[in-house]
Parts: sequence; structure tokens; C-alpha cells
Amino acid sequence: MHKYLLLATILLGLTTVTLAQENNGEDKNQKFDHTFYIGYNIGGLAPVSFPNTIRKINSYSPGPSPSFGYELNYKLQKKWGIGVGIRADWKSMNVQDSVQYFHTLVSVDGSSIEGDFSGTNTTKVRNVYLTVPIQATYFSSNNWRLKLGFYLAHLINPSFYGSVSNGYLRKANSLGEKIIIDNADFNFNDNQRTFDFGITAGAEKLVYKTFAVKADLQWGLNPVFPKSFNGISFNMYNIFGTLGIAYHFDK
Amino acid sequence: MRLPILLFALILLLGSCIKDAPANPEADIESFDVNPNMLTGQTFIDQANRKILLYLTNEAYKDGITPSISLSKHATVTPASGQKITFNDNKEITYTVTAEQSSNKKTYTVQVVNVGDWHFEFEKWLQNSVDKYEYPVEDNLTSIWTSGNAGVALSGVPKEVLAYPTRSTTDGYLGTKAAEMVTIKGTALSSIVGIYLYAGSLFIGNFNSAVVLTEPLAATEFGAPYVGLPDRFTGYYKYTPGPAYQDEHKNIIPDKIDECAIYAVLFEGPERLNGTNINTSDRIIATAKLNDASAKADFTKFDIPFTYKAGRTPATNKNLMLAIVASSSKDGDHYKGAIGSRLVVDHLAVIPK
Repeated sequence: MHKYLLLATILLGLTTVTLAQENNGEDKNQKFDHTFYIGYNIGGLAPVSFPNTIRKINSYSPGPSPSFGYELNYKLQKKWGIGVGIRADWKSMNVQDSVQYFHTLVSVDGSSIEGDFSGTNTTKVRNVYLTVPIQATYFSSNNWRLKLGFYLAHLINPSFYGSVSNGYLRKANSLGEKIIIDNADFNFNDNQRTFDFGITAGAEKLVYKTFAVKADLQWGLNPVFPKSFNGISFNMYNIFGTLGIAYHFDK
Repeated sequence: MRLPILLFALILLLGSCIKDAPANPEADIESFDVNPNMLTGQTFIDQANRKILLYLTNEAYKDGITPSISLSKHATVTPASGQKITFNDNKEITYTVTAEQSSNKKTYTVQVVNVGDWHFEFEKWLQNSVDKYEYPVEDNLTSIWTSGNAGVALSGVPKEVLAYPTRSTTDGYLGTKAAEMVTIKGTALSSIVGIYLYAGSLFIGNFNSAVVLTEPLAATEFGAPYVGLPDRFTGYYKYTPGPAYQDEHKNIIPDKIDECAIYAVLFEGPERLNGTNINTSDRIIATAKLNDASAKADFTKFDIPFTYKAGRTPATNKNLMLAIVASSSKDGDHYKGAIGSRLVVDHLAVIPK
């Protein structure tokens, strides 16, 4: 799947470059637009709909989640353009929740334990992704631009860890014997998929000379943990919004 | 600008909808209370093997008991709590618990444990249905002996008999089987919590897996009711220490040779002793301990007199309990020993005064 998406990216990139070359006439400066931006990601690695095993979110904070990016926009016509970029995203979160009968199977080098956990779960995510967004851009007359497209991302620094505490495990399933758990750590760093893709939407407004404020959303469509992983029994997706400041070149 | 924020808010809203709690799927008998005057030892609920082990006086066995049962929240049980049960017709007594999530049912078997004859041949073994470890039972299928296998199961060893440190062997002294204990290497999972070795163990009593992670030494509950006073502890064993002794941090200690442990402890019940106090409790009255715990290539007989603590005569109204404990590494309870140490015991007996 992701091979095709990568291919699509390259093709789109090539198209952009070709179009750029075809139009390298007098209005070159107006056709191209370079943007650098920094931002802060707020969101989570989360199920789209909470399973009933999650009983309560005790606390949530976004964690250290900067975002740095570059974006190249090419105007196909007065109002519409196409944009491609590259960005580094720290997609972090801290969450503590109360869970009940949360099914898990943890396997390390051939030894594994499976069961239903009830108690407190603390998860910290510090994933770093290298992301390529590809978007259609709408340039409105009043310094706004709106973007809609998709993104491809590669997980360059995986970090997903935490602990379970103040609870118990029902061994194998809900009828298994109860094992009291004070505190136990988990680390699912390397169980995560390294490839992510999803949809992205955003808006940007020039506020001062070449400076703009921007906000966008990246909604992952690829479950971060593969089907073969049983530590978490539901699918989780990267759903992050970014608030940031952009600097436009060639304006 | 407003659109993505609105979108994001919408998603958060969607995501934060906490659903209704699932119906309780648990179907435990949490306690099974009988008038303490009718008991010779505390009742034990073996959750792993779904057995209720009762230690009854003769009167209680004859007249029947009326237990008061507590269950997982919103679960129901048949026969109901407070209903009298009798043991006269030798029928198996079972309790079926139905969870609030009513497709979940669990059946417990009641066993009246009576160690009438303190001779143990280890001829009959059963297998845990989920984790596939073996455990010895008496001819009437009651459980007097247990091991740490249920704890080892939590470290995710393969579900096969030989993956566990305690099992039967055909290499017995007499009869067809004996009890074999082998000190094994920990698993990748157990090493995360700092356990690098599991000693084989076999003891009279129960294994309470609920506390095995929080208080591992308290999980081994030693002892069964004993009537009268014991004189000698006898049996046959053979022992081969493993090649390299390691401490609890997996450091090899050169020149140290592993030793086995075989001992019996008489103490005041009905509360059992456990791994934290089996050597130190004030309730201990007498002990019989194998002193020569070195290698024995062939079956070797031991016959050890009980040593009574000076001035320690048991009060007549106290329930006495006796524990027998054997392990392939004597410091295995602290995860020290030599991987590969093998102890086989057979024909253990306690001779009364």
C-alpha cells in the first residue's frame, strides 16, 4: 500500500516540477511561493471512537510537540494551486486513563502474557515523524489560503511507553485468575508501524508583511499498531492539530 | 482559521465520548466462609484450578456446612450462598457462578482435603487446563501439594509440561512416578522485572497467584492441618546441582555449588505460614530439615527426627498444621541458584509419635 502512495508522491512532485519548468517565464516569482513554518502539535494517538474499556480520562497533556516545515506552493491559476512540503513533527502526548477489562497481550522474545487489565494506565508518546504533505491550495483574496490534501509520514524516532498501576490482570481472559498489579512498565516503541498516511487540512492568514499564522490538522488513516500487535486491542491513529507561524518567501 | 479549529474540536468531542461501562464479565467466588469452629484449616480458593479446598472437622464433614459466599459484583451462584451442602453421598459438589455478562460462567469444584495418611507417592498428576503445567493430586483427586508453577506461568513460558520447573518424572524410586524439580532460566518477560531464574518447588499448601507480582514470597502458603505430633520425616531423593551458581542479578558466583532444600515445619494454625515467615514465625513448634543438601546421584533415603523448640508445647485447643517444602535451589525463593539443578523426591512420609 505505502509503496503506491510513495509513488504517487513522487509523481505529484515531478508534475509540480514539470509545471514549474513550463511556466518559467516572466511571472515565475508569482507562480512559486515558499513557506517556512514552526508550530506546536496538539492531539493524540487515539482511537477514533473510545472503546467501552476506557472508563475515564484522568489527565491529558500534549507534551513536547514542535513542528518544523517547509512548503512549496505552485499557483496553477489565480485562485488555485498545488503544494508539497516536508515537515518534522514531534507527535507527543501524555495521557492517564482508567480502564476496565482492557485486553492486552504482551510478548517479548517468545514469552508472552495475555489478559484483561483493570486499573490505571499511563501512556507517554514521543514519536517523531518526517512528513510529506501534498495539498490543493485555495488562495482567497483577503490574505487567506486554505489547504486540503493528504500526507505521507515516516516514523524516524519511535517512542511509546508507559505503565499500568493500581489494578489487576485477569489472566488469559475475564474468567482467568486475578493477579494484583501495583505497577508494571510497558514499552511498545518498536511495535509501531514506521509508515503513516492520512488526510490533512489547513488554513493560513497573512497577518504582517510576509508573516502568517496557520493551523492545520493531520488525521492518520493507518493504525499506528499493525494487526499482528495485540498489546492494545483497538486501532489507534495519529490525530494532531498544529498551530504555528509561517514565513512566506517570494511574495 | 476557524475551520480547522472547529474540525479539531469536533474530533476531540467525538473522541471523548466515554461509553457506558461494560457489564461485569467477572465470575469469581471471592470468599467461601464457613463457621470457623467447623474448620481445621483456613479455606483456600484455588482460582487457577477453580477449586475450593475445605479443611473440615469430622462433625462438619458428617453434618454438612452452610457456607456464606461472596462473588464478583452482580454475579450469581448456584447453589446459592447460605444453602446447606452435605458430603455423605460422595457426589462431587460444584458451584457455578454466572457473571453479570451472563455468557461468562465459571464452575468451582469443592474438595474436602483430609490428609489422613501422611505418606506421599506422587503417582497421580493432573494438568492445568489453561497453562498446561502439572500438579500432583491424591488418589481421591484432592490437592494437598502444589508448586510455584502457577507463578512461572505468568512469565509467559511455553504452554507445555517441560517448560515448567515442577513436574512428574518416571525416574522414581518406587512405583511409576516421582516429583521432579528443575531450576530453569527466567524468560524475556520475567527479566524485565528482574527475575532471571525459577527454582522448582513442591510444597504442602496452596499457591495464591493473586499476590505473586506484588508480594511473591507471600504467594506460597504453606501447611495442612495435622492431628497429633510428628516424630520423623522420611523419604527418598536424588540431587544434581547445576553447573554455574548465579545470584539474583544473574552474576555467576565461582566455586559456589547449588544446594537443594527439603524440610518439614510443624506450626500453630489455622492460618498458614508463607515464604516470608516459614523459617522465623513464633508459631513454629518443630522442624525437620535435611542437612546434607549436596549432590546425590542415586536415590538416597533420609530419616530426620523433628526437633521441637525448647519449652514449646502446643496448646491443646490450637489447630496444628504441618508443611513440607522441597526445592531444587534452596535460595530459589530469592531467585538465586544454578540453572539445571535437579531434585527428585519420592515416598515422602511423616511418622507420628
